[in-house]
Amino acid sequence: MFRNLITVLLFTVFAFAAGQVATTQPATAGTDEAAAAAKADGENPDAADTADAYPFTDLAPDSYWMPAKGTGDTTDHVDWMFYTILGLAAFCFLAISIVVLYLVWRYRHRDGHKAESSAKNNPTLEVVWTVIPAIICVFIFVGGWKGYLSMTTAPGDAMQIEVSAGVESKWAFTYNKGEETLETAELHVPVDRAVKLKMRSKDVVHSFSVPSFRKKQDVVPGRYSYLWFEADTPGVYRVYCAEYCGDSHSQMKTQVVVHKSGGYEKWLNAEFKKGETDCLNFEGQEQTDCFIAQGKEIYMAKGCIGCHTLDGVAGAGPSFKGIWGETREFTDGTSGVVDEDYIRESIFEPMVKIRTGFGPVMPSFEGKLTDKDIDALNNWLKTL
Amino acid sequence: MSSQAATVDVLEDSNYLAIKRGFWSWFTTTDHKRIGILYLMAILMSFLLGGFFALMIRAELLLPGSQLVTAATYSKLFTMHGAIMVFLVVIPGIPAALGNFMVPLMLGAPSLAFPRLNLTSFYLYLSGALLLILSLFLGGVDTGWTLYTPHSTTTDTAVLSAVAGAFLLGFSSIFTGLNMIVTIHKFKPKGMSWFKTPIFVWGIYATSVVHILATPVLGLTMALLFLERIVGIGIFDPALGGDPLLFQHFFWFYAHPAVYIMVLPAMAAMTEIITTFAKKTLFGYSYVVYSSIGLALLSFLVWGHHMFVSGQSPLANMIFSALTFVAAIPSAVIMFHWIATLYKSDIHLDSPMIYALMFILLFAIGALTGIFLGALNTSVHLHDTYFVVAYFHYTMMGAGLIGFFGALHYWWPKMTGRMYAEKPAKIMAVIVFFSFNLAFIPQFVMGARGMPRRNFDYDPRFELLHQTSSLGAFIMGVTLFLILLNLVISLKAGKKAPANPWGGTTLEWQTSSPPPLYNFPVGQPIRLPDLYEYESLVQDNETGGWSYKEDAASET
Repeated sequence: MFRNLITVLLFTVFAFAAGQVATTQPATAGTDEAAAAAKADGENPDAADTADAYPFTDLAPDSYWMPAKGTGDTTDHVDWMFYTILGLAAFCFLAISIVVLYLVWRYRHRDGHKAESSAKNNPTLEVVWTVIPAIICVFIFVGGWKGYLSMTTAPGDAMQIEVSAGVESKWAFTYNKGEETLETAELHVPVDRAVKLKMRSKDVVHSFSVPSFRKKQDVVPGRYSYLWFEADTPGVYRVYCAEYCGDSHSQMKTQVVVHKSGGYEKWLNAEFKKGETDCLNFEGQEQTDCFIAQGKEIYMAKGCIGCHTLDGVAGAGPSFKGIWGETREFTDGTSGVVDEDYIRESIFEPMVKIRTGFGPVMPSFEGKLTDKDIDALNNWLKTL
Repeated sequence: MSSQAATVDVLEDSNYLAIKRGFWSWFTTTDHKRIGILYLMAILMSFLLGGFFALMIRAELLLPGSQLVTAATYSKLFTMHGAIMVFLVVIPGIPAALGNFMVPLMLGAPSLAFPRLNLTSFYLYLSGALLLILSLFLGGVDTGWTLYTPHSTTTDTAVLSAVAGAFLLGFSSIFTGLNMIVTIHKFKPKGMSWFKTPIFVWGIYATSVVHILATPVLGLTMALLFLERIVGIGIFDPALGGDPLLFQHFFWFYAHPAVYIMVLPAMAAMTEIITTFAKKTLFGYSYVVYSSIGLALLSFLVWGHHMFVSGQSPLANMIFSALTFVAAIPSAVIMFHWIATLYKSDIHLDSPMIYALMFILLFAIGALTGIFLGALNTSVHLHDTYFVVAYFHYTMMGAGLIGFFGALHYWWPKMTGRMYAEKPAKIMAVIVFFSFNLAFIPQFVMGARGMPRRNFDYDPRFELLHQTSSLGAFIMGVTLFLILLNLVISLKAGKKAPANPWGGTTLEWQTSSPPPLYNFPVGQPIRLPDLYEYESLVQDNETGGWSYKEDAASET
């Protein structure tokens, strides 16, 4: 029994000791690695975007007490306060424990020992032990307040990203480029640039929390919430929902990718390009299924559906059913095979080849559809 | 006094437990002692249920991912663990069970001011508890004990019965508080001025003031939540034009003072134990009284520190942070008085004293880690993480519940007339101390590193810390159960308790254990001993009981 007790006691002491070791060694191990990696990327243009490669798995390691650091001033200030209070608390706790244990040992009941009389109160002592904690409290309060002010006051030129939180949709981040917008599930930000998040909730209360940035803000439905930060170390950091939001609360997490200098713009441009076709996978290859679906969307959206059916019954124009690879005759007496060039020509210059039995009624889509759109349509037509 | 001792022997079979028997004699009783025992049984049963849920939670968290239960069940487990432990165990623990029993005795009074209102309070508690537990059978509640809107107004779990339960429990507290305040004002005996009143009575008084001022707000909030769910009145849900932050303000306006409802009576009971077992007058009595009252009043001014990241304005955050530090000082001052009382004392290390010393250390950790959460910038980082979970377990469990267990060991001989086995009680108290720290210190570390609370699943990097925490929780759970078993066994096998087994100077020790129906022998004047003056008390080596020198001399 006593051996068990000693083990438990040792662990307790160990936990405190480990905390103290962490206080004396600022948590830089993780950030050094990340910084070194980022530097290496910068020197090697071919590997330029390895920090941006999917999936982001190389999260910076934590120190014993605190997560890896992601923001300069805020992190330093919070950590300084944390370790100061930790040191103070550890000192006070040890002092209290030692005094209590000493008094218990010194005045333990034993044969012949009796309580001696001493002052029943001592106004000087009362003042001392009220004023000293009060002074310490004032210092900690002021320190915490100043740090808090700087972490809540966003600079005027901060870049704004919109955040939506929802039980079903988790986190979604919206970036603006001119009139276009882009939505992602991970947050991407540039290094050394103030970013202000404008957050709203679709349902219940959530809380946007990035431990590495030492920041957190509830996202309350019915109002906008704001949080700003300026990341100073490129890397990937964890994002949690800190306010319980239902059964999937622990799954409501994502990451924030801090791109090194210039990397964010590259990433953003690439994402917007992907947005135009939506059919590139993360390696930039076209995805066939997605492409086919997109072809059908264009058929519906651009009005082809008005004249061209899919069931073999001709409308104002020929039906698309089973059209691919067939030979067709034209009003000028020639004939040709339905292939990619023919489709492209028919869309951009419909009057060049008109099918026998149909009138010259189709308008040109020159300038209305892109090359990518034609490719998508072709891919889809092949499947009909 | 010898004649009084003789009367006590005559009354042996007419003590409050023996005088009437049977179910109805208990469930229609207006005797404050029996009602106290009824509360105690209900509270301990709730404690076993809430503790079982806690161990389920810790077992689930042994590994990341789903182990025992689904995410939905997990949400219900921590909700019911929190609601049961807060509303059914720690809040009524000392005031309703032990306070009910002890306050009239300490005042030399035969009963509370309103005995039937007291029974009503118990039935309100019982109905509230049953409604809360009924929600388990209606599929459980998944809102967390904080019931934040709009999750609580839109979830399809059994929120209604839980909310109705909390409403009734609130009125139980209000009635008990009212009863205590009137009793303390009107039933103080001649010669007991306010500043010669036992600290425990002061503690219950301060707690009752908080009860009657704060709990109505909980009642109203629960009523509004109830109405919002059934008729959609739109107070809290933004979809109906309400404001979720309003709910948080209402809730914490009650729930922060509720923390002091849990801790103040425990602090007061520990004060009694420390002075009694140190055989030394309480150092700076009046300062302890002022600090307790100050703490009770300040508890109303700091609710906003629960909302530092809710979207509350930075100015409000600054004010609440400052007030939080102001409220920290009386707690520290009270603790210094306990330590100063030990100086030049004669410390008897019986199990209640072991609990009181544990209490000082656990309360110190709770108070010191509270500084991290009072300082604004560290508070933002630590808000809603396991750091907060560990912190409030140190205050609500380490202080509130451990204090309750200490007080229970202190007054058990008086309540039941039996002494429990002392050695196991001491050893298990020490095991609880170490396993408690083993369970919760790792949670401080996890929280500082960013592990959010109420998470069913977690990053593998926290695995070892979670497992250590669970190990501590399992050891503690088993030990707490054995501690209760030790008490229960004493009912059959325990030695007969003397009237004053610890050498206390408050009035409850001046009557037999267990006390007669009307607390003191009828028709005899009650002698008021000098409060916290131990010089003239001597221990009888045979029975272990203490008595005043002149009485002991006159008997031989």
